[in-house]
Amino acid sequence: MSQVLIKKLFRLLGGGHQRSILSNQQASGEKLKLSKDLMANLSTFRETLGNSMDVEIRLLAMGQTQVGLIYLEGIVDRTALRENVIRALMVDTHTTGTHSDGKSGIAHSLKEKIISVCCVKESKDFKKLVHAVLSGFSVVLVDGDDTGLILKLPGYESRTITEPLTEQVVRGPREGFVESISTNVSLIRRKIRSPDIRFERMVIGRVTRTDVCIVFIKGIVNPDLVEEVKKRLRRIEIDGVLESGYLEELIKDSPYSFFPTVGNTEKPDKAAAQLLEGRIVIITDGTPFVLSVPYLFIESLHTSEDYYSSYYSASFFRILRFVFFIITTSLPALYVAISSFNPEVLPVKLLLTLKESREGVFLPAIGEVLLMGFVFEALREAGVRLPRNVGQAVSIVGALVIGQAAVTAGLVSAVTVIITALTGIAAFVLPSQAEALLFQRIIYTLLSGFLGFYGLFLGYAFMLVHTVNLRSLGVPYLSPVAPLTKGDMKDTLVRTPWWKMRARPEFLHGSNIQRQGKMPAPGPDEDN
Amino acid sequence: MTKLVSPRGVEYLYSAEKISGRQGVYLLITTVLPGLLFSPAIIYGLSDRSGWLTVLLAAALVLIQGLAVARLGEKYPRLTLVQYSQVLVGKMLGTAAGMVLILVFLYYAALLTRKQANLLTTMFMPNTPPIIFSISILLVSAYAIRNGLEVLARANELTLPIVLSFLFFVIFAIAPEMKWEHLTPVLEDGFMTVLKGVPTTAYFLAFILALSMLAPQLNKAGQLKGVVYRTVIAICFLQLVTFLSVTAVFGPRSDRLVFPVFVLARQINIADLIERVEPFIMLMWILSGFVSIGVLYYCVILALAQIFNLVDYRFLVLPTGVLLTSLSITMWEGSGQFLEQLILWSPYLAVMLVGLPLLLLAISFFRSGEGKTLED
Repeated sequence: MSQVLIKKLFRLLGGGHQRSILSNQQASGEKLKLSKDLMANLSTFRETLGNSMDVEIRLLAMGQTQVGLIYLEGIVDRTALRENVIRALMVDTHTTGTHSDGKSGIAHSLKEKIISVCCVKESKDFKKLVHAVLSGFSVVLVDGDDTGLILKLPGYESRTITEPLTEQVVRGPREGFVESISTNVSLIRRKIRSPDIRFERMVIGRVTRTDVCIVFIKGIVNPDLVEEVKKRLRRIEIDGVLESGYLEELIKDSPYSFFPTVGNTEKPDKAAAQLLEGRIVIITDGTPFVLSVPYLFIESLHTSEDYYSSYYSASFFRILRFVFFIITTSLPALYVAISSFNPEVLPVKLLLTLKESREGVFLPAIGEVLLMGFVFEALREAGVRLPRNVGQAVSIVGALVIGQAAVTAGLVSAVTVIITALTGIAAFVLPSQAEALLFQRIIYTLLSGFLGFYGLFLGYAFMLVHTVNLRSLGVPYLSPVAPLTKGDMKDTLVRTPWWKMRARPEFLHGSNIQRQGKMPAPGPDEDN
Repeated sequence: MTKLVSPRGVEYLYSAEKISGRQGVYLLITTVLPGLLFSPAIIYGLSDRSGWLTVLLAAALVLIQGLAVARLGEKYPRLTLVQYSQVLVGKMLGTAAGMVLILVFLYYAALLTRKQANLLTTMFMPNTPPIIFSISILLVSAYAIRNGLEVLARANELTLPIVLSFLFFVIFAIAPEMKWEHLTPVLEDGFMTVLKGVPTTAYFLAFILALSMLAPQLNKAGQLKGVVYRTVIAICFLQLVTFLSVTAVFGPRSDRLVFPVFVLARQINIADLIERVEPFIMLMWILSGFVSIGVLYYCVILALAQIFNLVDYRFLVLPTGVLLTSLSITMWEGSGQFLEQLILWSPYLAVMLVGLPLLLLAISFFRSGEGKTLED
């Protein structure tokens, strides 16, 4: 009820405002054509781009004809521009001439005969040319012709491909996505050579005009999902998209939930695997984090390595991760419930140990757990932000001061320290759920502080209803467990061997469900 | 959500959510389950150690009821009991039938809420007022059904296996304590003692009548009979298992237990390591309780909405929840009265639950031609 009200309120406050900005922009950006007069065109460019220091507008003489060259100094490939464009225009035209057959104008013949650049496009639309310049392309205008040439010669500094810090593997490819969208596209392209893979470009961000690429494999993906993703992305009206996190928040199914319903990865092999299962991948320019939808809860228990290593160990570690998921969300709450409400549930010996350790601690269990949890999160956050060498010092001080001194001073009990440490470490086992785990833990701890075991279990019931209600791009968040699809249980808590997983996940409702042919289980042939 | 149109031209937004046959079976089992956890003592009180025969008879009765519901559901595939009873016996009487269903379900939902609150206050937190537990558990149910039946069905798909595995864990762990002498001799007091407990036992099982309200939401036609068979076999089995294990462990003391399965769990001690598993029983109660109360709650508001021709049932969630909370607190003074009233009322309520679909089915035989024209 309140959600609906809040949504209505937002719409009331925000709607009108947004519309007016858009209409202003549309009015100013009317379809502007180039004229035949080079000087007039150049001055329009100068007006539009202003006198920014990196704007280069050059006049070249190509025989009798004047040619204008517009580019942004920092983001074009200067060598290529010099050798293949400027030299070609100034020198080569003397030998070959600029034969214009009269029909198609000088610009077209330049494109065909003179300019030796891989990708050249023609355009008469002024707005398109300006955006080309801003994207790191160079624009060539010829006097007496109302067609401009866009030369795709971007050249800017970008990071080399390195192993991603967030998803390190022992076995598996070590390359990671980088900030440049074209490199990222090439990384996926190198993994999947099917002609059916599609990279559809989209520009999002009214000011930043960020390139976004929707990737899917035609024939595997459910076309309705692709339409839905496009619809949601088209709906976005925002000034800037600086990281894929913006998009993630803007296309989520349930924007008020803290559970991630859009996945992200830095690894091309993982993105490729997502595509092969029939998911959709969204690459955003300027960030190595690539999004994938639909993203389901069960995926947070999986890593790419599960599929590369033996299925026994993969299944073992998945179950381990699930156990740690329960530990990290519930352990502090259980501790509070046991020590403050129902100590009798513990075996007597353990109970005595617990009582002894709590001797002389002035805080109640809930206070202890919250305090230590708070300190742990603060240390972790500081550890991430601080320079590396200082960070180590902080963690040593943290470990000593918090671990040893606090217990000796009687501020907290030793058991609490153990529980906080275990909880904290367990959270790193499911990195993609990190924030959801933290909030679940806080909620459960508070509830069990009020109502003991009942509070914790009530929290479970609420969280369960909440998560089964969640959807990612229309797919229920807890599929394939609830609703149960038997065939898809092969790749959940347990991974069955590859030769058993003949079908793609059914819950994604792909058009083509068959993943493998009828291959027998590996082994020597029977007649041998 | 797509819209469905009732025979009287009202569009029902909420009928569009579909659940699978398995989800339906699971939902019905869970609806009945909390009753099965505390009924063994009551059955023992009425039928003594021959109670397992009582359970079988009651299950047979409930199977007939269920098949009547299935038959009616197949006859009127897109209507609920409230709707087809209006088609069958006219608006006035049909509304009365709907009101009977609402009252019986409302009473049982309040009863389960109170039972759970009683369990929590007596066993875990004696100083907390029961209303806290009533409100909180109803909040979870309300949250689920506000988002639709399918949410409840999905949640239940996860919880029922957990709950049943706890139940069977308790029963296996307590198996060494069971003494089969407690169950013999069979039929020492004659057959009348067995019959004495049948209506009350049937009352606990007869809430599979909820199927008559859920039937239009099943995703495939023609699976109602299968759902009924599977559900009745499952609940009959569960009731037998709980009754037999409680009786075998406690013998003649069984009828004095207020929370038999809970006390059963208390006896567990495996190598001094696994003992005191009561919190798990509490978890079992909560996880099955909120779904069970949720289904009853859902049936009540769906029936209300259909009687008053409302397009959306969602706004009924809050007022009905408030009503249920206050009913669960004010209807009973304490455990003693609770049990007394249950034993006194349950035969009449069982007759209503079992009789209603049978009566409607009988009428539908006489009016079959007419019914079909009104149907679509």
